[in-house]
Amino acid sequence: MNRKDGHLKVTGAALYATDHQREGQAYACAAHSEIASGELLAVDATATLALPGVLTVLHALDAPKLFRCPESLNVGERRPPFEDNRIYYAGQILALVVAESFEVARHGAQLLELKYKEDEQVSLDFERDLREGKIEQTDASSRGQAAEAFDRGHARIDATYETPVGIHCAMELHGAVAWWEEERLVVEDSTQWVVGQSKALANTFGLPESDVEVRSRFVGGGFGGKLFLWSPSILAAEASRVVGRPVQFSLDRRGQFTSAGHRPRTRQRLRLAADEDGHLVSLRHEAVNQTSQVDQYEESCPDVSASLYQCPNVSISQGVVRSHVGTPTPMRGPGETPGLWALESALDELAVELKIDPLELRLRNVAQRDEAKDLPWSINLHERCLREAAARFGWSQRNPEVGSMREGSEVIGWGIASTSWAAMRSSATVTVDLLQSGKARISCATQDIGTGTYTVFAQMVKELTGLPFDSIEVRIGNSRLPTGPISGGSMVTATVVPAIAEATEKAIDALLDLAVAEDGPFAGSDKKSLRMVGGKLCSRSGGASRSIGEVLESKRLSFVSGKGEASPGEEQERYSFRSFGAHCAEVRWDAGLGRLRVSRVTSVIDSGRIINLDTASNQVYGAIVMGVGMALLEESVYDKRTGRPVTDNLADYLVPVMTDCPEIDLSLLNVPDPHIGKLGARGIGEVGLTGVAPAIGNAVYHATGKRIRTLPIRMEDLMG
Amino acid sequence: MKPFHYERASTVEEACSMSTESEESCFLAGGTTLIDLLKLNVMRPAKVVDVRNVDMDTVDLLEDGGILIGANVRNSDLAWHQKVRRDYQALSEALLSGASPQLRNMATVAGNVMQRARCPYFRDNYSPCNKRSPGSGCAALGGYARSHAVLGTSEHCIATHPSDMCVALAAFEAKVRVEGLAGTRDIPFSDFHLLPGDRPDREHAIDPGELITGVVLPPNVEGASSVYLKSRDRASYEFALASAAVSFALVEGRIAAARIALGGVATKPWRAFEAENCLEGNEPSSELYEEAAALAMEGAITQPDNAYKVPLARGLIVRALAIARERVEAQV
Repeated sequence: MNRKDGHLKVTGAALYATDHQREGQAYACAAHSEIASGELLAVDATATLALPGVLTVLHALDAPKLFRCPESLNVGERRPPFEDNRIYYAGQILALVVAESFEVARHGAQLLELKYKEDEQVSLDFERDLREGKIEQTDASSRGQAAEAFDRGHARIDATYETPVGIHCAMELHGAVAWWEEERLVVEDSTQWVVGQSKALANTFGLPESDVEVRSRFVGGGFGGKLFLWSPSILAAEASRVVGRPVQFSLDRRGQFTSAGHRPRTRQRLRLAADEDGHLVSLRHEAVNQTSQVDQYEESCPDVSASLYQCPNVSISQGVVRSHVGTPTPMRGPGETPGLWALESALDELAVELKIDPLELRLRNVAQRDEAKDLPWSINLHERCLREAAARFGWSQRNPEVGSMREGSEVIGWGIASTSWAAMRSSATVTVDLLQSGKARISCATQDIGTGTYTVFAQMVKELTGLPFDSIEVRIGNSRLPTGPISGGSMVTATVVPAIAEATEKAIDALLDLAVAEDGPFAGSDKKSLRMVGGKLCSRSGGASRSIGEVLESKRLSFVSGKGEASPGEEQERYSFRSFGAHCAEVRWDAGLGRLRVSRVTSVIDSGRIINLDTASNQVYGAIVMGVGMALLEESVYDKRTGRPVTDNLADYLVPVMTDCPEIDLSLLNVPDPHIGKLGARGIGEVGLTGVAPAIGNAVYHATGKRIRTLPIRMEDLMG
Repeated sequence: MKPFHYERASTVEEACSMSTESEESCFLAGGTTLIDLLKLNVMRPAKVVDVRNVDMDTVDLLEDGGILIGANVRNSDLAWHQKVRRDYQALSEALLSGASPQLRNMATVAGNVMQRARCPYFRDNYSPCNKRSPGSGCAALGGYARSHAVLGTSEHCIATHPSDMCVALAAFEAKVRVEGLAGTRDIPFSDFHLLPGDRPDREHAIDPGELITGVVLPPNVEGASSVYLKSRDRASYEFALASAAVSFALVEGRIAAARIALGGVATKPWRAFEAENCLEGNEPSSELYEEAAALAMEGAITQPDNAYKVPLARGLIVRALAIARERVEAQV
């Protein structure tokens, strides 16, 4: 089976947001703040406006008012662009030049003269802010007596871990083409949530929701960065309103590093204590993340620590520090990904302290129930994942002595870590139409962010109707379709698949009603005696079959419809849902060359039933490679003096390239979740990433004896 | 990007005279540096003279056994040239370690010789930078300087010369052939790139209106073998954090014609002359390699972020010398 979007994408026929060209389209380019804190005093646009082809200049001192979105609606940055003349971070968009061509718009933006008043008080130094205690506590919970139990522990770990600012680095930039049809706004956008994007734009411009249409047929990578509304879509729409023409606006690559969200920097203190047998007796996880001046974004690192392992005495807390940086946003596996870096590294340290194999230590602490929610697991195959990953990897051959495994000039290290992701469901409405042409059409306002949503949806309808895969049209990526979920939190499959099943069954049932009705091809038959096989209706006892078209023709109808609705039910109160897994990693360190590489990763993951092994595996392979980047390469560096990003392009912010990809051995258990919904699918987007970095960090320790607690792990950390 | 006049030359003379007509002109070849810097508004020439149609894209064998590499020869073509692969292995390895296949298919030899700094403060177009805006200061000093130079720096600039190819050319004692309206001259490679000193904006010993037409490589020393080693965080598509090109021959068991050049650690392609002298005439041994490596990095001035480059480069030199020896011995 080919991907629905495969041919379109490899031939370039798939049009992404800013590929769209409208009649009379104009182009916009932004000017960003060079300072991190202060006020915009003046904008001199004389030279810009003198350029032939420049249509207008919008800026914070002279812009129509845009509205904020209510707190109940998630957006990227609560403050709309140009709200006032305050500057909260370097890279903040202060002006927009609209012109006949992109080149003229960019030249015009470069010619703008912005005059600032820079504040003397600037918060750019996370470490200093932490030292000075500028932490706002946002969340805390506990069970048992963690502090007392820690003191009584046989083995104890008290260590602090850090993760840097991470950038989503989607290939496709944040950008949009927007135009107005009378009072109605239409946006060709790149978003992980067409429904949310249209609601947010409606609020921003003060329009009824029905007057905003957001389209996003293809998304060139999101990773969380396109979950919520960011300024490019707003500014394209605003510029279009001002010039009365369609406007294309996209951030440039540098803008992605300041103005479209990032995974925030975190510092996490872990205190673990275990008894002589390696059972956890106390776990404390205190995390702080950096957030912006304008939004309080929490990276909920410690949540996973409260339930992944069994432990009677647990205390977790979360805080934020406000800095002059842009607003953070979820990035693949938000919370869990940095959280497990800390927890799974600390567990490795505890295993060393206890002289217990790190695999064995995890097996001894597998959680029998979710102690944080005080609920039984829907299903928990954590232990099986750990055992199978270790077996496939060859863990039993591991010599626990540090630096003991060598090959030529390389020293080899093996590490293990658990992975986990809370399995969530949301709501969806789906319609399935069976058409006179003999085809089927499925409609839902969700979107395919490159992960195979088109394909999985068509596959579901194919399985239930027997229609050929190519006869099934999937209509998604438009906010006007029946309301579907956000492509985030690994929810789409788990949420929509049950609704598709229901809609398809109802459509077939409606077709059966027509078939047995007067004048129908099976008039007088009992509905129950008929079934759909190979896209046609036939009697269970054999005989002639009738196509969808023939049945509809009998009533002169063009199509028949079924509607399915699914939302989380009472099962959420009875069970806790989580996906579990285990990663084993092999690293090779050549001290003479300063070369650290990940050569091998084995992952075994349980995320319920796998609907499509190809698209599911594809997501996990990508996640593992992303984990390699997180462990060894990725860091958005800011200049401490100015707050400007220094590594603001894809040559200096390093993501893995093909030659960095380890050999990956992946096993998806494919055991249906008994309680999550009709088909037992839980989603796979994040669980492949969480836990990869600590598996690599633990392998680095095994190779070198160096415990690196701050990511990314770099050659200079291991030298000398 | 500031609009500029674009002209296309078909001969060297035409290129030189087009270029002298405007004070702020520059030549366009592969464009892999220039186009980037134009878009970032860091370079703002009034005129761009396209020299891609000028006939200088062959590798010619010279009578003395050396080669003349045409200025427009693509990096990938040069890397896979038979003679280069055989006699100048470090050059081939250096080229193939640089950039990506797509960039190597575009980038030319002369363009690579003229490659500009990758310092983020040079490219951001607003930080103080003496290279971009003389007299404005150096933001890399006291800033994020993990990739910056430790050799050949000044208090005005610590930007690393980013080229891999140039490191090998330095080791092979290449000459840069430039032609202008006043005639042709060959500039020894170690004189071509200038140290930043108090004028980091002046990067080359080339005069306005002069065009690089080729690079001359002298014949390789009989029996010599060479190697290029590069260290970086990711396995491909990253500038060197440190690199070493070494070459030597063995005469009666002793090192002859030793050459060591370094990349990623210096403000220009860096010849380690003292380290070469230390090797010359001695029997190869790990101790000797260590001694040479230490000499090569003597006098390094480090920043808080880049002190690791000193042990890193030493390690690379030692490893490169060991590999070169294996290759020399494998020849016999």
